[in-house]
Amino acid sequence: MSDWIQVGALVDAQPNAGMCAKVNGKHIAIFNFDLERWYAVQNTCPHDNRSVLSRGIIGDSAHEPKVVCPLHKNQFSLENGVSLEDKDWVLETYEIKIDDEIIYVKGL
Amino acid sequence: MKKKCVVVGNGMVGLKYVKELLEKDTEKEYEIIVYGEEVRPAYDRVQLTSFFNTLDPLDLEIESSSWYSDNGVTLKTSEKVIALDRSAKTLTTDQGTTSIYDTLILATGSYPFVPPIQGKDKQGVFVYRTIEDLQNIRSYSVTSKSAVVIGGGLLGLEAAKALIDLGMETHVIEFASRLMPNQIDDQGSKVLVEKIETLGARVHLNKASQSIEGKDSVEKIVFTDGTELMVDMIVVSAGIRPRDELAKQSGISIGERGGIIVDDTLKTNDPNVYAIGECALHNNFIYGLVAPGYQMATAAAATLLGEKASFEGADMSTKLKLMGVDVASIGASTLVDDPDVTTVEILNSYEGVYKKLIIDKESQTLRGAVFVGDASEYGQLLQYYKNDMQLPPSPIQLIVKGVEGDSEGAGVTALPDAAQICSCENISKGNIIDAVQDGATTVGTIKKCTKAGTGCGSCVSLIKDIMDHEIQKSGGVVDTALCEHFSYSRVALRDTMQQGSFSSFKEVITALGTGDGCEVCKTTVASILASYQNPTLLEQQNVQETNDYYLANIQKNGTYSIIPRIAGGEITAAMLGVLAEIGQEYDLYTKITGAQRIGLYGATVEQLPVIWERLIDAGFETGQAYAKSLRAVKSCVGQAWCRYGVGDSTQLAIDLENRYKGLRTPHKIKMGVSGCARECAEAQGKDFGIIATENGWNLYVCGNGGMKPQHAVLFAADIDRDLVLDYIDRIIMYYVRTADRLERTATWLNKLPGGLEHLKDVVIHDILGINGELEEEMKFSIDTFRCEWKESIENTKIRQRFKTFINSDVTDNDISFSEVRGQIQPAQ
Repeated sequence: MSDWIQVGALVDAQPNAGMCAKVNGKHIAIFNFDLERWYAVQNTCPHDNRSVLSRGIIGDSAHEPKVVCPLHKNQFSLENGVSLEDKDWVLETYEIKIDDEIIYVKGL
Repeated sequence: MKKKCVVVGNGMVGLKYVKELLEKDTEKEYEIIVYGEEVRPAYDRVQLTSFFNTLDPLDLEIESSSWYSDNGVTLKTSEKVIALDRSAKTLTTDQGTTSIYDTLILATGSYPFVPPIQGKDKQGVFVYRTIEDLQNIRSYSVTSKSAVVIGGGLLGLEAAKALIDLGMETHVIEFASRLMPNQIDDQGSKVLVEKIETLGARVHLNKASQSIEGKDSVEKIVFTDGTELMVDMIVVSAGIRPRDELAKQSGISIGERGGIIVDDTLKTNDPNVYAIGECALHNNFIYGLVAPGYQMATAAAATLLGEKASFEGADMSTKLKLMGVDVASIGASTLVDDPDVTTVEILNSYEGVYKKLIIDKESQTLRGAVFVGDASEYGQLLQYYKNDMQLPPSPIQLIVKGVEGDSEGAGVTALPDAAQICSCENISKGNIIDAVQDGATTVGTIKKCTKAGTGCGSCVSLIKDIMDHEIQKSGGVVDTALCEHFSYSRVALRDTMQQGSFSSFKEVITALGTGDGCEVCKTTVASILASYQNPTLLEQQNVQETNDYYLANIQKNGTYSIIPRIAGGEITAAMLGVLAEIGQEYDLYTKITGAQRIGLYGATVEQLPVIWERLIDAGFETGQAYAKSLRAVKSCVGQAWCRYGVGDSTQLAIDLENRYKGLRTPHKIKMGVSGCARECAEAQGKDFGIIATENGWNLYVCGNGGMKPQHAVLFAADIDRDLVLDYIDRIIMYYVRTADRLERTATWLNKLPGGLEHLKDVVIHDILGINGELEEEMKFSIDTFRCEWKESIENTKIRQRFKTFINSDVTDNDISFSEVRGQIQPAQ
């Protein structure tokens, strides 16, 4: 259940971008800052329940890393998945690591 | 043990009370319990109609459910209080629970009054008060063609606008001889009726409804004068009645015509029971606006905590936008035939504007005012009214726009510090100045620390004027920072970037900014780089919206649209066949777009490059419908076919589209070319509009449709084709240089110091001496145009982007469609 699951290779990742992996039927959004800091959250935006977050722009807001949904610009913390606009939404977050150029997630 | 304060009703005023009590009750004397009969927490009923924009109730939410629990407030939704026992101080709900209270706040609001019209219970008759009402109206409208709104007050007109937007043939029925009889006068109503009728609704005055007929559902409405209208649905908006039934059955005093009688401290005849908002009757008056309701909530909360506070009636002045038309009233706006007053009236039927000042002859102060069509002076005149300020010797200057355009900012300086600016939160000019002196430099900060502008929002521009003026007065500079990562404005950032040799966002933020960036600065920098360097955005990885990244517009279900360029709207039958074939093969939704092009909708990311490969093989190129750049140039068939045409509008449209395509601009740009003054291409509604004349072309600039339509203004008349291109080249590049991010040309021109005359000086007379540079910049853009889709398909690295999952080659199977009118549509 909580084993590390391999989702991709570092070579396929673009710096400062998002990508989506399908793990046990779930869509996981994976983001990185400069291929150094990595985050994994659910790919579905709770506002409309569409699987799109990995295509959002990432950045920071008051030093909190965030993703901005491409559909309606709702913003979420990548640290804990909490909405940055005082809405009731929280994204599921997952552990992520890079080991020997392979990307793994855990907690699904 | 804490005392129990129970609030019955969780509307805007009920919530305001809770907030006031939380803030004032520093000793935590009270436990707050709130009952609301609606399914969701209090929402912004003032903005109810905007629900139709997103259909998401959360967009109207004021505070989330967790806000209540976080603040220790017990909120019970979907639970209606049905009985009170005032001697035992208990209440009983429809869920069968009984609980005790020490203090009871009745904030039960009102219900829509439905006149006793025969047949009013038929299917298809609605009221307009809750989100559920709007949801029902929307679903019923799907099978309806025409609608009647009973009631021409402000809510009725809002409902009518919503029905027009839902595609209904819409009628407004008003019993009185004018619209909005409580706010405006006969002449104001005449102007308003004319405006509303041009928007597509029919207005019927002096009409009383007699019966609604039809088998089970509405089929027609019959009036007392014998006339009738065939209609599919009816929305009743004939005023409100206070919800006083709970008070009444427990023996609390009720007014003769309803309403819970309260004194100046908002107490009923039972000292433990208060009533606030639309259910309360104060001095024999029911206040149906949110601002007085908020004032009652504030006064009632203060009274409960032993402070000396009172509600002594409220001003009913109001400003709103009805069907896109500004309407406002101040004070005794409907006063007529009073020997003590005189008036100043301006009727501009040509532009649909009416303004009237009602002036006290002796004191030369304002007693009331009416605005229809343009209420830009409302804020200033309200201050004259509220502060009993003496009017200038010639008050007409207050409502006629001077040729020089006296700015509202000048009016701001004349206000006393005590002037109330935000009536919802009762914030004075002095409070705002204090906030600025304490360091506030944005409207957002002022909203946070004073709450000004957080209610109906109509005072926000006044707040900004006061703030800017105060900042400038103290020698400060108005904050124009792009975002928290860059202290530069867009214009300053662009100028600085052009001095350097930047080629990526990373380099720019490292040199000129801080942090990781955000959705604002990343997209702005990407657009600026593309506007003067023109490596296409393809090379700027991951700093752009998904639309620029996938070169397609994302749709609500995560699929994308494909819109190839069809310059000037001209397309051969053979090319049409290619689009038809692709649409059919991939089962895409096909539609003619608003820009004379054909859109194919519903493609997955995997399908995008495959389909574009086919399109490019067939001779299409990208239409940049996904970008902030030139969209399309609309044209009529012009001189070549039309018997009235005097210029070859199609040729010019194609030339313009090919000339400016691809250039990234601060916002999207649209153009139109008409072959004669009949203007079939609607060019004057575009950023650039060109209309053929007997002697050449007339060039109009800086118009736009969208949220706030504005006609383009004539820039040059009877000029030849080459000069048209020269002028547009220079204006566009000057716009790219000086506009703020996401600023359309219309707003840009409105804010440009010196306005149109300045633009002419720059572009025609070259007073800045930059025309050479502007032309060079444009030439560079034209020479370096590349079709982004062609490149993406040929470049294997870029092509790899078009995958839904990194760990699977299958597409997203969870995306589903339903079939509507023979085509796919995203499943709801």
